[in-house]
Amino acid sequence: MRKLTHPDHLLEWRTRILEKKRGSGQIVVLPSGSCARAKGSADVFEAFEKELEKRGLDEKVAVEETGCLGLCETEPTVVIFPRGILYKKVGPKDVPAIVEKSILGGKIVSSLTFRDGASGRCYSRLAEIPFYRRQHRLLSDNHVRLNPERIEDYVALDGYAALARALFDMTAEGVIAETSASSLRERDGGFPAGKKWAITREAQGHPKYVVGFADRRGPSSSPSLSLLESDPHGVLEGMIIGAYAVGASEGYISVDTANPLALRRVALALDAARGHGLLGQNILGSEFHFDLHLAQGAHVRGDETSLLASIEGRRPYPRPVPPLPCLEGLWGKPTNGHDVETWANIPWIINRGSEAFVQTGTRKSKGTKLLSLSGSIRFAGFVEAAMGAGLGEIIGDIGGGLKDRRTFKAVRLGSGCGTFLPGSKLRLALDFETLSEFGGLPSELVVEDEGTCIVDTTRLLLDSASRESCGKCSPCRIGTRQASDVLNRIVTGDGVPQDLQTLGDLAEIMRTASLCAFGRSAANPVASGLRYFRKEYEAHIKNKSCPAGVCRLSSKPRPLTRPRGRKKAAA
Amino acid sequence: MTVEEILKEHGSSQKELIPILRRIQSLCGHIPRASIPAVAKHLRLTQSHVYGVLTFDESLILEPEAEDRS
Repeated sequence: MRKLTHPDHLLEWRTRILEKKRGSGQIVVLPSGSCARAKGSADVFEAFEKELEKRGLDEKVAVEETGCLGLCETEPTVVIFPRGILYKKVGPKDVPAIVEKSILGGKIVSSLTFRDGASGRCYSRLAEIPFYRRQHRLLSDNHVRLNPERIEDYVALDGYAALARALFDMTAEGVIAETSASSLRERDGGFPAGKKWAITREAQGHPKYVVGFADRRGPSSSPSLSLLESDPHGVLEGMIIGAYAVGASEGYISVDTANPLALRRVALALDAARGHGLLGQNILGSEFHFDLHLAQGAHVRGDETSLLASIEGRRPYPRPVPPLPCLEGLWGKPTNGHDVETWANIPWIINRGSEAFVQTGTRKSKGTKLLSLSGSIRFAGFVEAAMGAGLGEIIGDIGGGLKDRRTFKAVRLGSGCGTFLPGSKLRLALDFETLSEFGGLPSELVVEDEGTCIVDTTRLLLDSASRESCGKCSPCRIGTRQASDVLNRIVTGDGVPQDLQTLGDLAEIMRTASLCAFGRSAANPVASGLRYFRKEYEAHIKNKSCPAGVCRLSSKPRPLTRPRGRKKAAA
Repeated sequence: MTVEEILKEHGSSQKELIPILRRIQSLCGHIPRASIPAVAKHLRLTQSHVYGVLTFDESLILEPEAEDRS
């Protein structure tokens, strides 16, 4: 590993990598995110290597593992470049046929092609599949073109070119101005990123820090994790550029220990970047010093101050804001934190300019949003949609509508304590302003069908929220527990009419008085359920019946089977 | 490798607490209660502080996992 001490070294390196790549002909690509691994992509990889070696093709045809393709439903998938042919649900036994027919013969193995459920049409090319065609893949386009564990692949795709440009052709103020001009807003809160950078840069205090974390709001944050799994260098580059802009000398990137693959790939990326002089002293030979560390502490999901406490080695309780972390963050110093998706937008903006970036999106919300689609949707997975796309379009056109001919009941924005929206709200657009009253821009859409009981789902969400609540502030600690108790009563048939009022009040208290976003979000399913699905609550309470047939309502209380209290490994 | 050797490799600043606890856990499979005083002393923290941080994190465990009896 050679340290790059001049921006030209980066160019030379890229030229060398590209020359080496030009030699190879066809490339078999196996996307390998966590979901593909779980479905056995490693076995398929091995089968390909064996088969190609057996036929003496291992020189001509390369097999590569790449980041996530997003189409979780069809994993393990195989894509053959340069033609871009996609085969779905490939097992090791299908490999000889693919090599024989497709790689050598140039034909299509029709039994493995992607079939669109709604129209019944078969698609053999990646780019033709509606799931991809309807997306706007700004950030995730590279995921299938690079091996996240190799920095060379990232550099070959113009990786770290934005960093070189920022460091040598732009001043820190210029980078901030460019980011402001792009109108990039924090993906998890909507605050303008450029403005935050300017505040951090102006703030008194030294040293300054930058922090990157997976989505702050929901208990689940799969799009962010998928980004870290598939393109860790993209996030790193964004953070280094951000650090240069705000004048930070150290940074932390927080990765959930529950995702070992993302953890491993980020750690590898950090080592590679450090080894090549892209982190550390005199980055690319400039006067800029910056180092980035991995933070693996648990924290209250949804809260930045809790994460900062965890990095400092304190018990990760949230604290009241203000003071804003960008004025008083880590160790009381200015700390510029964004979710990883916001960071990943930065290299794109610096490379192609803010004018190109503002072409996508609505008047006030620019760019794209990564989303995970799940629930009763035909093509569950990880997608990227342009801001302003309708929720119905995302579910219907990209996600392929509901699976197994089920009927739509609700969509939950955010998989944790998200907001339930009925079918009449599906024409709402995916942007900050439209969705601000529904819990903010989501990173997950969960489609619920007619077999879902809104009351029971809310109960499950509040049960888990009451276990996850950190206990620092009473609206969240007591509110989640009380709401969960009331809901447990309703689903067992012991609800009384007064319960609706109680739940509404609890939701209002949690929303307005909680210390951090976690407590505020816990009110979402309760409040939205009462607002749009009040009839279901009334059926449970007045008629003692569950319209979806989920709850077993009897007048006798059902013993609680789930352990109560915070789930702890023996304390 | 022992807990003492792990401590020696880390500085004594408070931010080392979670990295140290993670290494102890990967060494022992859990965080032995007996190691808490040593960690606290090394970082000049109270034992209750160390305990407070490690019981917050669900991935850090204080008791060894039960043996598989199947």
